[in-house]
Amino acid sequence: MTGRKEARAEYPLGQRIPSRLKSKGGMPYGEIRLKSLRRGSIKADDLSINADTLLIQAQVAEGAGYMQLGSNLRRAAELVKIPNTRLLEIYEALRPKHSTFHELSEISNELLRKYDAPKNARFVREAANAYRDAGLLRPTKTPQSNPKS
Amino acid sequence: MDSPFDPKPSLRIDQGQIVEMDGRPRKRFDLLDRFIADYSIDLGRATKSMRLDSLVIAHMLTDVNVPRRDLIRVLGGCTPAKLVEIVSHLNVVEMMMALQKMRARRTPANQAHVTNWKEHPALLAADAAEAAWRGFAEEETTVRVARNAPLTAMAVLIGSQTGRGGVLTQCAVEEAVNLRLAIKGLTSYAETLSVYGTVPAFVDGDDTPWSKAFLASAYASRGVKIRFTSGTGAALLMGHSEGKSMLYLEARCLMLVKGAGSQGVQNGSISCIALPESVPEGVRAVMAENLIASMLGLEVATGNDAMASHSDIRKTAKLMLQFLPGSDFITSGYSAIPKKDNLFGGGNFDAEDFDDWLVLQRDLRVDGGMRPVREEDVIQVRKRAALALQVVYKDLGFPPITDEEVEAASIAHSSTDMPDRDVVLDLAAADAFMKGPRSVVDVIRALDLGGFEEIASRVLEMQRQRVAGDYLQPSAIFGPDFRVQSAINEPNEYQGPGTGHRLDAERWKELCDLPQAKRARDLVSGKGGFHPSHLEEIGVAKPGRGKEVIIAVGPAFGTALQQTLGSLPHADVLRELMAGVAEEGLPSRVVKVYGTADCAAIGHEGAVLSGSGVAVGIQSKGTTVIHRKDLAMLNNLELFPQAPNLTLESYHAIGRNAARYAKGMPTTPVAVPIDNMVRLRLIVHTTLMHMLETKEVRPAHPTMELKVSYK
Repeated sequence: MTGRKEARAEYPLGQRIPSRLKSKGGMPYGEIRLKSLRRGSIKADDLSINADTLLIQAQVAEGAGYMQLGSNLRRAAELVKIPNTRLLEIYEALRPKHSTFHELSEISNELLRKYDAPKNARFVREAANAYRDAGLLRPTKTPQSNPKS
Repeated sequence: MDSPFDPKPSLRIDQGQIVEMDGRPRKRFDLLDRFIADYSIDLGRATKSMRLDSLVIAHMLTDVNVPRRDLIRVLGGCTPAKLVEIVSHLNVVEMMMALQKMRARRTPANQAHVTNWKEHPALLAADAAEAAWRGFAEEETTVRVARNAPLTAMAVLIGSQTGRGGVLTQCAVEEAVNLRLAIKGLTSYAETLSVYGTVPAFVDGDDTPWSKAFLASAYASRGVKIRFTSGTGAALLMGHSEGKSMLYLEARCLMLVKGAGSQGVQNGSISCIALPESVPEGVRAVMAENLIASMLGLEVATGNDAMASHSDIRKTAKLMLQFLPGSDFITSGYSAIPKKDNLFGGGNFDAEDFDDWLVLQRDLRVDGGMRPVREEDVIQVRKRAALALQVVYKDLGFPPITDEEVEAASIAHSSTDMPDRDVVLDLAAADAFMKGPRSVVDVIRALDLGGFEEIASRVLEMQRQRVAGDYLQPSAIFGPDFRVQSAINEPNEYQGPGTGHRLDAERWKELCDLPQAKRARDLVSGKGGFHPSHLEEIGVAKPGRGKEVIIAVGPAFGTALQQTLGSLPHADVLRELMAGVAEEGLPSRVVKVYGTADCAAIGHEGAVLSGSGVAVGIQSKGTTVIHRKDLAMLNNLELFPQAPNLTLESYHAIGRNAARYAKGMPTTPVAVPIDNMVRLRLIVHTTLMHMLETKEVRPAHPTMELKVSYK
C-alpha cells in the first residue's frame, strides 16, 4: 500500500492508475466499455467501487489534509461487502430511539465478526454509548416493530 | 448573527480527549457537542489555534499572503464558538475576500433545479439537456409523487448526458429510496443529508450525527458523491433554537458535517432564507455561514435557490455576495425552468433570468457557471434528449412517449405546453422498475440499441467514474471529457491579483458571445428619403439680410446619415422645420456646417449667418437648438437634447418658434416629453451616429448653402 503523499500523486486514479483499478465485481476499469456491455459481460457489481479503490481515495484525501473525509472513505471501504438491504437496516437502527443498547451492540458485533468492519463496529459502539447518555435509546419494553410509539 | 446566550470560545484537552468545549464541561455535553468534540476537531492543532486571537485569524482570512491551506490547518483546531467569533470580525466585503480565497475548487460552478409540475418525463429530459448545454455542472430533481422517483431520475440522467457528458445528477427523495436510486445507477450524487444545530431538531428529523455519518459512508461505499444540507434558520423554524444565534447553531452543524466525513455541504439558509432576510444583518449571517463552511475545507453550494425576497434588488444584492467571489456552486439550485414548474419551492432565479445572469457575467467579467447558447442548438439538444428517452421507454416496456410528446418537449416553455400522460400507468412502470432487477445497465443497452451510442457511452462513463471514485474527493465536478476537477487536483490557490481562477481568453470569449448582442454596423441604417439631388450645394453660405431663419444642419445630414435617432427621415424633419418657419411668414435658408459636429456650434454658426440673427441648428442624429448670434456659444434660446423624443410636430413647432424669435415676438417654448429611459435604449446608437457625423467634419471647409427640393 502506498503512502498518503504518493497516493495524492496518483489522483485522479481513473487517469493516473487506471490499470490498478477494478470494479467491485472484479472487472478491470479499462474494460468497462460499451463493447463489454454489448457482450453482456457487465453486471451491476461491475459499476460499483471496490474497497481497495476506496482505501486509495482515503489516502488521497488524508494526504491533502481532509482527515475526516479520509475516515469516512475508510469506513465506506468496510461497507462495500455489506448487502444493500442490510446496509439500510443498520442505518434505520441508528436513527434516534430505534434501537436498544443491546441491539446496537449486536450490530457492532455483527460488523466486526461477520463483515470484518472494525471501524464501523467501533463507530456503532460509540453511537450506542452516546445514545445511552443522551436518552436516545429505545426503551427495552417497546416492541421493535414500532420503534417510535 | 449573535446572541447573549452564545457561549464564549474555550477548549480543554486531557489525555487526548476534549474535556471542555465552549464553556461546557464534557459531562454536560449534549449529543452534538460530543460528536463535534470526538470527530470534528484536529486535536493536534487545537490548543495552538484556540490560543490565537480571533481577530488575528480574521486578519489572516483577508490577507492574500496567507494561503488557504495554512488557514485550513489553523481553523481545523477551532471550536464552533471560535469560528463564530472569527467571522464576526468581518464585514461583508471582507467575507467576500475570504470566500474568494477559501472556496475549495479553483473554478466556480453552478447547480440547476430541473423539475416540472406534471412530472412529464420527456419535458424533464429536454429541460435537463438544456441545463447541461447551458453549462450547469450538477442537476437536482425531485418529485411531487414519491413513487415517480425512478422515472424522474432516469429522465434527468439521460437528458443531462445528452446535453453534456459528465453532469452530475441527483433526485431528492427519502433517504432509503435515494440510496436505492443511486445503487441502480440512476443518480450520481445526493445532498439530502440534512443536519441541524440542536439535538431536538435533529431528533425531529429522525436522525443523529451518527446515523447521518453512517449514511454518508454507505453512499461512499457505492461510489456516490454526497454533500450534507444545513442552513441558518432551520433549527429556529423547527422551534428548537435554545436561544442561541442562528450563526452559532449553524457553526455547530458545519462542524458535524465535517466530523461525519462529508466532502461538502449546501448551506446559506436554503429553504429558510426568508427568515434571515427578515432580521437585521440576517443576510450577512448567511454569508458568514457560507464562509465558515469553506473555512472548514468543505465544498459549499451557497444557497441562492429558494425564494429570498419579493424585491429583485434585494435578491440580486444578496446574490452578489457569492457571485462575485465565486463559490463551488454559486446557487445550490438555479431554477432552469419557470417558477411554476419548480417543485422545490424555489425559483429565486429562474429560466426567465438566464439572460440577466449571462449579462452580469459579461458586465463584471465574472464566471457564474453558465454560458450563452443559441436557440436553434437548444431546440436540437432538447429534441435529442426526448428522442433518446422515447427509445428507452419503448425498450423497457414503459408507457410509450409519443412523437407528439417529443415534439412538444423540444420547444415547450413549461409543463402547460405538454400533453397529459396516464399517470397511473407511469407509476406502475416506476414501481416495477424499482422492485425489479433492472438497472442503468438496461437503460444503457436500450440507448445503444436505439441508435444513441454517444449518450449510451456517456451514461456508462458516469457509472465507470463511480468505480474510480475520483469524484468522492472535495468539490469534485466533471469538466470536458469527464476530466475530474476537485480540490485535490485543481484546488483554489488564490493569493491576490493574478492568482487563482481567472477567466482565460477562450472562456471570456464564450461568455461575451451573447446571442442577443448586435453588431455595430446593424445599428445605424435606414434611408431618409433624400436623393443626393434633393440637397444640392449651391455655393458658400453668405450672411443674409432682413428677417429670415437659417436652418443649419450637421456635416453628415442627408448624406452619410439619413435618419435621426428617433428614426425620422431627414427629408421629413427638414420639411417640417421649413414649414414651421413659413407658417410665421418668414423665409428660411438651409446651410450645411462642415467645421463642427457640435450642436451648439452648428446652431451658432447658422445664427451668425442669419439676417435676423436667429437660426435652428440640427445634428444628423436629430438633436436641435434654437440659437441667436448675440448669445454665448453654449447658451441658447431653446435646446432639445433628447432627439428620440422629438416628433415631426416638434420640429414643426421648433421652426415656428425660431421664426417668432426672429420677429421679436413673445414665444412659448416647445414642450417635449421627457423619457429618461431613452438614453439607456439608444446610447450605443447615439455614440455610433455621432462618430459618423464627426467623421464628416472638415475644419477648413466653409459652410455651404443648400438648395432643397422635394419631388
